[in-house]
Amino acid sequence: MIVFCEDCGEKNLITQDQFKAGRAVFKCTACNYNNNYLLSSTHPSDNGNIIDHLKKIISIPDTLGGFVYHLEKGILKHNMPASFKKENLIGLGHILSQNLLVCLSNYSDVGRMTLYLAKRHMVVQVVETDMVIILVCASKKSVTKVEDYLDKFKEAFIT
Amino acid sequence: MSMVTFEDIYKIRNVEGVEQYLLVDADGLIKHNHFDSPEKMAQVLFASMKYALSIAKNRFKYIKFARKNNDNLYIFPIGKYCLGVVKQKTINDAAFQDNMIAFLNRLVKMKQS
Repeated sequence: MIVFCEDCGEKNLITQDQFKAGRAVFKCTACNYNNNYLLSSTHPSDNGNIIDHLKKIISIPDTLGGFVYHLEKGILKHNMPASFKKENLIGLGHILSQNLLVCLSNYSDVGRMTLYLAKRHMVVQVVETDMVIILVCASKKSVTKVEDYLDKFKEAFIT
Repeated sequence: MSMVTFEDIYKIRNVEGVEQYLLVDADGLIKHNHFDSPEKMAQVLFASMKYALSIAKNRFKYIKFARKNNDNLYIFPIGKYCLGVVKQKTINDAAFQDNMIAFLNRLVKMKQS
């Protein structure tokens, strides 16, 4: 992994051994400064990497795209085909998140909603109390794979 | 043309994988209840139908709400009514969905015959 020295900014290549409990611990090869700072992990189970998960999920065959929707801030990131206009995605994100919230207010153990339509299916996963990730799939098979992915990394989505 | 009656719909109790079920009308009023805390589910059904129809109208098939213990909640539109079902924990979702789709298709055929 390439990291940067906090003192001089030099690029340093570190090994897994120098990456401890989320911290980069190394001596800079240029200035010998002893670095020891927290890194944002790129491990798929890290809560801060929803965007990374989004990229991986939409690579599942028959997955048309997805977006991260925040209840107050709207769309934080989207990776949808150009045919989906952003204003429509905002409306879609609002409706789907509200629907999930209604269910959550009655059944607190619900973590995900899947809406099955004639040709499109939408998986809505709670990420945080005010954030969801929404995936659009073209087949039930891809829904299953998306749900399997979300289950596999559920610690990243349910906080 | 034959009519689909409530009794036909209530045969859902014989569908493999059905734990509990609830039928509400378009106003969210409970028409038939085999459900713990039916008011909670009726509220979810009413809201979900409203939201789903605003997105998809006649393309809406069903909704699944996944729960931690796998006793997932399902919502199916049946004409002007809405059916809420709790899936048994022991049956997987794909098998349950197949069972429910087969049941709903039988209702549609009854209506068309």
